[in-house]
Amino acid sequence: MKRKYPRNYERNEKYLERLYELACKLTSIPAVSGREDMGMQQLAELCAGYFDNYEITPVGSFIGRINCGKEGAKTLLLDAHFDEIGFMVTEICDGGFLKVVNVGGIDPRILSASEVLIHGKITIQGIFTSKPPHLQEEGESSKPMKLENLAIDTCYTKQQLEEIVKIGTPVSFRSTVERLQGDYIVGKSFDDRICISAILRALELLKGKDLPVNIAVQFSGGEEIGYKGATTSSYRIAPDYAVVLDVTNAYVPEAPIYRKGIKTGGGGSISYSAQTNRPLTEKAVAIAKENNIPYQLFAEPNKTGTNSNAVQTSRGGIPTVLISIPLKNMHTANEIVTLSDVLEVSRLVSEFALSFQGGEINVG
Amino acid sequence: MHNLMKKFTSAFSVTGDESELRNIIQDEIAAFADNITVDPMGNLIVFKKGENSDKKLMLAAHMDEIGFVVTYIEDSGIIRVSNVGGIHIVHSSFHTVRFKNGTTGVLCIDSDTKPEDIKMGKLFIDIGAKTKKEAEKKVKIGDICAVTPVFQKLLNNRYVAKALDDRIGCAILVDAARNSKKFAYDTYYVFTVQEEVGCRGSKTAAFTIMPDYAVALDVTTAGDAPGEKNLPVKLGGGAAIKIKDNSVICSKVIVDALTTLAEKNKIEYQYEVLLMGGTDTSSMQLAGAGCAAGCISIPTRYIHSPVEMVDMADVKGCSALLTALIEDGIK
Amino acid sequence: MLDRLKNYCNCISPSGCEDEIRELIINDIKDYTTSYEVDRMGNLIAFKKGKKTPTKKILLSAHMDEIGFMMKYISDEGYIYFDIIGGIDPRVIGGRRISIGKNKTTGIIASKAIHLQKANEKGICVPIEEMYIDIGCTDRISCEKVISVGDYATFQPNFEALGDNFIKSKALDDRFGCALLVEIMQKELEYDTYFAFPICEEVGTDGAKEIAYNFRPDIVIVIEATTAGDIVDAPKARHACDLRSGAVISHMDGGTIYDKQLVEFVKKTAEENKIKYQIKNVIAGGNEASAYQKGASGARVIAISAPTRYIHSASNVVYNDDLFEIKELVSALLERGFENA
Repeated sequence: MKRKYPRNYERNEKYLERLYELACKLTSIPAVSGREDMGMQQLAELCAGYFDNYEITPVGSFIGRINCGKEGAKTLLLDAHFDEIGFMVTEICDGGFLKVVNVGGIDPRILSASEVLIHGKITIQGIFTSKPPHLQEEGESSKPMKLENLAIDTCYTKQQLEEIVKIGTPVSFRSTVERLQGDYIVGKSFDDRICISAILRALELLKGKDLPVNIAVQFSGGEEIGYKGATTSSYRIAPDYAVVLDVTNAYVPEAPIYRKGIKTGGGGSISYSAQTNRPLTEKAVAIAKENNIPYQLFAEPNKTGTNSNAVQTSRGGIPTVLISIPLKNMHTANEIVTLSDVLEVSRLVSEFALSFQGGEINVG
Repeated sequence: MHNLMKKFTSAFSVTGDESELRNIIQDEIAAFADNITVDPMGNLIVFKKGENSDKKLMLAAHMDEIGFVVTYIEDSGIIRVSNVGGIHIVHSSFHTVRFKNGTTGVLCIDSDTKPEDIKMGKLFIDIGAKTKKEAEKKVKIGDICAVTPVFQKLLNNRYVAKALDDRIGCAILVDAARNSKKFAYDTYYVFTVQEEVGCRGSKTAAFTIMPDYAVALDVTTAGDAPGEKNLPVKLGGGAAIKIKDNSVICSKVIVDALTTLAEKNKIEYQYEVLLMGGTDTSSMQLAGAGCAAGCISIPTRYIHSPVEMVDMADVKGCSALLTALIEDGIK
Repeated sequence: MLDRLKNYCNCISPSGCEDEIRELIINDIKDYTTSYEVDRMGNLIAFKKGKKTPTKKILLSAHMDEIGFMMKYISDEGYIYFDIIGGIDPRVIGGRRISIGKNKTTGIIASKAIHLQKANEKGICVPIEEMYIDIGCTDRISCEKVISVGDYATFQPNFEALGDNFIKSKALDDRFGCALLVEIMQKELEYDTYFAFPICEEVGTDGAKEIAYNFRPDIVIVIEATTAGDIVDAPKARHACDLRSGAVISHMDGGTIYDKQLVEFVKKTAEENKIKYQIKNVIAGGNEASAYQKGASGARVIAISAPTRYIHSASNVVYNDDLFEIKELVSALLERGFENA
């Protein structure tokens, strides 16, 4: 696709490979909303080295801090959410089946015969049931599907299951990351682990550089169930400014016309919204232009459906920018992004952090 | 316990005007408190110093019940109303109602309404007035009413009353305050307001306290009543430890601690997953920098009707579990 | 007050883009306040010292933002797809003129001529995502010279007197409140008072939440415009409130149950000063009072509103005398103070 601004560097295989590696590692950590503790140790092992110190909050967020060492320096917050959509066991049935309820927004139409992991005392595999035609009622195939009519088949007996699983046990999608054509990749939980990858890569780009601000990073919990982690960890950190990273629906043929402004391969999208800060957003756009970083613009005035509002209204208000990575098939086990967009976003975030050189940004 | 239940469910305390019940609770709990305050929204905050003052435990039960508010008085003396909180119209209809000033009447539906057309605009209260002027002597726009108190004992030590949501939680908090012999942490018994319209009161109370641990006491739908589906909680199945409802996923720390305490003290318990509804738990979990929060739920049938039903064994179990938590804390 | 109201209503300042109205208000208050600040989110808060310092912190609030539109995508043919800011019924925008951005570029929200409509289209409202704005460009490039994605717009300014002592304009919600607060600030006050002009009320009372956290008021009086349903064919029980019936005092709406003692206090003050008032009789809508009530450790809140027809549309209508009743009521309340409230 034709780029608005030419890149000023050669396509770098090493950087793209590094992003692929991060995506694979991060998406393999299970952490269903509300039970981020299940993956927190793995996340801490992966990330701790990037920070001067870190903490885990009671509402499932990982907070890491980097001190710039300057007296009176402001704090910039970078946010991406760690939790993923999934399910929770509500009933253990005869025949080794499990009834579940969804955690976060899930389209029941993608579930039949889907593979899942059940994180009980040990982790076991399961498959969502799919009704064979002869069991279906007349006209059933044209009616909307409901989760309450589906169950997970574990191929254990009820007794065996009761040793492993109980009410409240979390269940996640089972999927591995694969390369598609070009720089495109497919996998689960790119929402929002791909943004965690972008933040970690941005920190790698900033390593050794003279930072003008302290950086606090929150990999927040509970986003998919109501922005819970971001609400509380932003309060804890009390930063001066913030950048929230999430994914956004990229244009596909069935989408409304305005989505044509957000395409995979066009770079990160920067949002104009009442849930983000306008002067700070203009600054982010200016930085993208100055550094020849491809970007797209997205106007979403009322709700962004991301942590941006939770962060922006924390305490007495925190000016916030929302940058999103275009993604297809959101909230399925086969989400698609292109690594080149992830690369552009990580560059934009690192340049944004460096841009505070020489004083604070005038906002409000 | 059943005296507390009867006393509390007889009080007038609709969302937005909880003062009557607040005063009653204050009298019952004062002897067991180190300090009592009322915040700007009307929450009653009762403080008891603990052995470890480094940690704060907040316990919450809401004082308000759902009701109706007068929106218009017709020339005929008939009173039109709107709901306060989540009213299920069919559940409340054709029951006697009572205003704060003692005026009584009946809540009815326009008689020409087809079942599928039933909605709030078809409801009215008849206090027996013949004219608008006569009605206006007793009630005015903005006045609030609730169904008249009900309290009955049935078989198997099961009790039926109105507003067990959440007077039963309030009664359990007071009962636990009386029975606790020691206090692991600085403990706040909070009787919240305006829960039924979105857990509003608990937000300001939680912000003021900033707890480390928080547990709400509220009712949960028992899934064994005719017509209920997909709800694991059973009446008589023991104190329910909440895993999830529509507003919160309870912290593992609290769920595990309550499970351990229940097993250690041989208290019968069950797990609860509710597909709708919210509780003060969410407000406490999200206050300030957040905390570990959970809920002990009382299995209840026919919630938000005048005839809510609980099993005394469950109620006593919840009180025992709460007492164990207050005494031993989170391990 | 009405000249000021006209200037305020004619600003283009939807939620998140309040620069124009904020500058105007600052200009009008800077000589009359003890101090004022613009916080880093854009909220404007002024403090005016009175003759006495009250035991309870008093705050008056009127939101600066209005509903509007945001440009979302420019098509190859030079049409602009857009989204709404705040809550607007899609049925009131087809065919309207709007003003876009700092340059106040005129655009039309396109409406398909009736001759071109299919039989099954007639009377049905098109969803927002299928509507578009025409500024007179015929291709993307010429349109992009004037408009960018993210540009904001409102209905075109149209403040005018109407009929016998009425006013019509866009954005009476809540420029009326802003104008009233500024009027009150021109005079000496009995007690120290804070005046807040929050941003972003129309998209979720965010500004008020931030102000509540930073200032921790004890008593908050929200001055708003509230929907009046006193039009032809509306049953009396569903009016909510009427024009020409004075200041509206709310006891409850969709977002707040107002402090009962404060409601009685305000009613009594109105009665003693022979000020016309009415009680809102439909539980609907909401305003920033909910954010102040639940913010931080809580506050006692009350809302006094102007009854307004056709709220959240291109032409709101209010009755002049109602506005002055509200001014009288608020002045009387501030004079009396809230020490005994």
